[in-house]
Amino acid sequence: MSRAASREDAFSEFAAAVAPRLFRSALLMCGDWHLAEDLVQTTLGKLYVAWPRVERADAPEAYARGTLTKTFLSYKRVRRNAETPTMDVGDLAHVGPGADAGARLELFAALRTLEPVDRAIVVLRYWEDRSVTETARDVKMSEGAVRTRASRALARLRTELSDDSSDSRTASS
Amino acid sequence: MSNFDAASTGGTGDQMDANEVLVKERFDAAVGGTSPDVVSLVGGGLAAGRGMRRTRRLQGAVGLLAASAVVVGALTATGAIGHLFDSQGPASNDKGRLVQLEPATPRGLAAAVMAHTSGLGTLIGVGGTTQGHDGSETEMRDSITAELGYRTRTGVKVDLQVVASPHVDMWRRSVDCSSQAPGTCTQTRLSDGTRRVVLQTDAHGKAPSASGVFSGPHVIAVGILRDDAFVIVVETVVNSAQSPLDAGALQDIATDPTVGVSTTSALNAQGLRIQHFKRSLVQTSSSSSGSGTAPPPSASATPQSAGPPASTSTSVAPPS
Repeated sequence: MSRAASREDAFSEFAAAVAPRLFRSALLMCGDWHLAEDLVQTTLGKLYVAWPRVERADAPEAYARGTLTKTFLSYKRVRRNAETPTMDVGDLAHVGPGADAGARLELFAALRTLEPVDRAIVVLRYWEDRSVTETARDVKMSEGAVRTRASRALARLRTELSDDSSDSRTASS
Repeated sequence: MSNFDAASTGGTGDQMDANEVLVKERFDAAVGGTSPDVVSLVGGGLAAGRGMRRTRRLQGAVGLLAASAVVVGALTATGAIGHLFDSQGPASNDKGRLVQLEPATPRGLAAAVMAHTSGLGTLIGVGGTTQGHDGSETEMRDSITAELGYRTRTGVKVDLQVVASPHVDMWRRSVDCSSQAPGTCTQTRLSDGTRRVVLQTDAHGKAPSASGVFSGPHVIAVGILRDDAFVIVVETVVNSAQSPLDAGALQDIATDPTVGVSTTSALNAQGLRIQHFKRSLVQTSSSSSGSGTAPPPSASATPQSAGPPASTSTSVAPPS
């Protein structure tokens, strides 16, 4: 087997292993199924280019998650003018398939009230269980800033989701 | 009362921990059961990676061109011209007509180039910048760069990078075509005595076939050492063996007196109307999968009017 083919096989094996987890994180960060797919593919592309370095990394998957976060934040920086404050609640197509699409939509709407970087912090801290130190490195902030922003974002989420729950109860009563 | 409401009452540290757990539960409920198409993701990632790697190679070739002044060697200059940014006077174009020039902005340079490329296809990105104002004595000092990305009607993606530098003597001393790979670089003298250097290379730094045909992505660069500036036009063809602009067309751009460190006030003003102009270089070809990038500007990124600007003021807006 040629060196190039061997490299592609090794990368493909790694990519197949991490892609589902990257996708779920991307979906939480961006709230859009198709965009999450794009973000993951771009992330995998970057990992492919940097594959020798990824292979040598102590924690290749952590490297991959860091790359995804940077890709997401970079995308959001470019697109910040196009950012919509809330999701169109009637549009389920963008949140992807599944019986829990309603709950997903509710959560995504709450997450979209957060700044992109706060969304990334919340996902890294509470979904991926990354430490404050690791999260700070991925979002290029101080640990103190991450702690503060995570706390505020959590409070905001709590409020948003509670309001949504109240709205749901009101609507159903 | 929702789980969130129950956990959030009180607000103690322990309850905040409970909220963290609840957030995780909400995350898990929302996306834990999702099953993306892994084959598609990996295939798309591989394709994106290959595209990025290919583009990096090409950009490396472009960087080689710009940084080492690749293309140019032993070019004649009619004298040291280090003060061109201050030189505002009449210059004659190739038709013998006198054209009033003023210092070009990156936008003005882009507008001047776009006058040559309007039929190339859809403009998908445009930008430009000034370089090297750090006082260092490099060829790139005081240079202006414009970059335009196009997609032709046949789907060919092409980047045009134009660099104009006033430090003609410095370029003449630093450049040598002989350092290039065999068959990739040629030097000729134009009828007016200026030197032209052409570099053509594929993504691996190799020359085209004897008949000038490439087998895939490639770079064609034409450098002209004029008496007022060194102007290099680099065409990077990202996804095709075809060259939308041949060396002759690139030469037309490089020899246009309004393409350089000076241009007309009309073109500078026209440049101000270019929409979606990026300060940094566009590098449109680096977006391999269409994700993670801004939506391409529409064809409206072209100057809105080909006619003369409403004002012919000589004041020049700072580079955007």
